[in-house]
Amino acid sequence: MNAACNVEKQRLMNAIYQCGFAISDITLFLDTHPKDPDALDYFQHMKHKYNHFVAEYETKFGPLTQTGEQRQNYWQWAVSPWPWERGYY
Amino acid sequence: MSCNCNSMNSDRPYMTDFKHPDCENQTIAMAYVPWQQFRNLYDLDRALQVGTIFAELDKPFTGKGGMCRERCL
Repeated sequence: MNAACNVEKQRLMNAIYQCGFAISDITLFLDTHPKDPDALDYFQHMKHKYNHFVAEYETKFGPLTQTGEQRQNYWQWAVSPWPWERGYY
Repeated sequence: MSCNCNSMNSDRPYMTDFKHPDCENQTIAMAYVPWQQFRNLYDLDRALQVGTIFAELDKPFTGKGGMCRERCL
C-alpha cells in the first residue's frame, strides 16, 4: 500500500473515531435531555457523517466489522491486516 | 418546568418545604446540580483529544483544588 493510500486511510479512520466519539458523548446528553431539539439535530448530523465515513472507508479499504463486508464473492475480512499490524491505518 | 414536589410530599408535612431544583426557592441542606445546556461545542478534533464535545465539561485535573485553567473560562 503506497503512502498516499495510507494517508487517506488514516484520514478516514480519524474522521470515524471523531464522529463516533461525538455520537457517544451526545448520547449521554440525550439520556437526560431527550427532547432537546438542537441535541437531536446534532445526533442526526453526526450519525449521517459517521455512516458516510464508514461506508467510504469500507469501500476503499475493506470491512471495519464483519457487517461491513462489501464483496459478494470474496471474504476480505480474513485477509485484511489485523489491528496489531496497523490494520486500521 | 412543572413539578409536583408539593403534591408528592402532601403526606409528609415536614417535607413540604422541599422544592425541585428548578423551582424558585431551593431549600437548604440539599445539593443541586445546574442543568446542562446544549451550547459551546468543540470541533470534533478538539473534542476527541480532550474527551468531551462540551467546552463547559472540559475540566482537566490541575492538581490544585478550585483552580480554573485558562481554557475553562
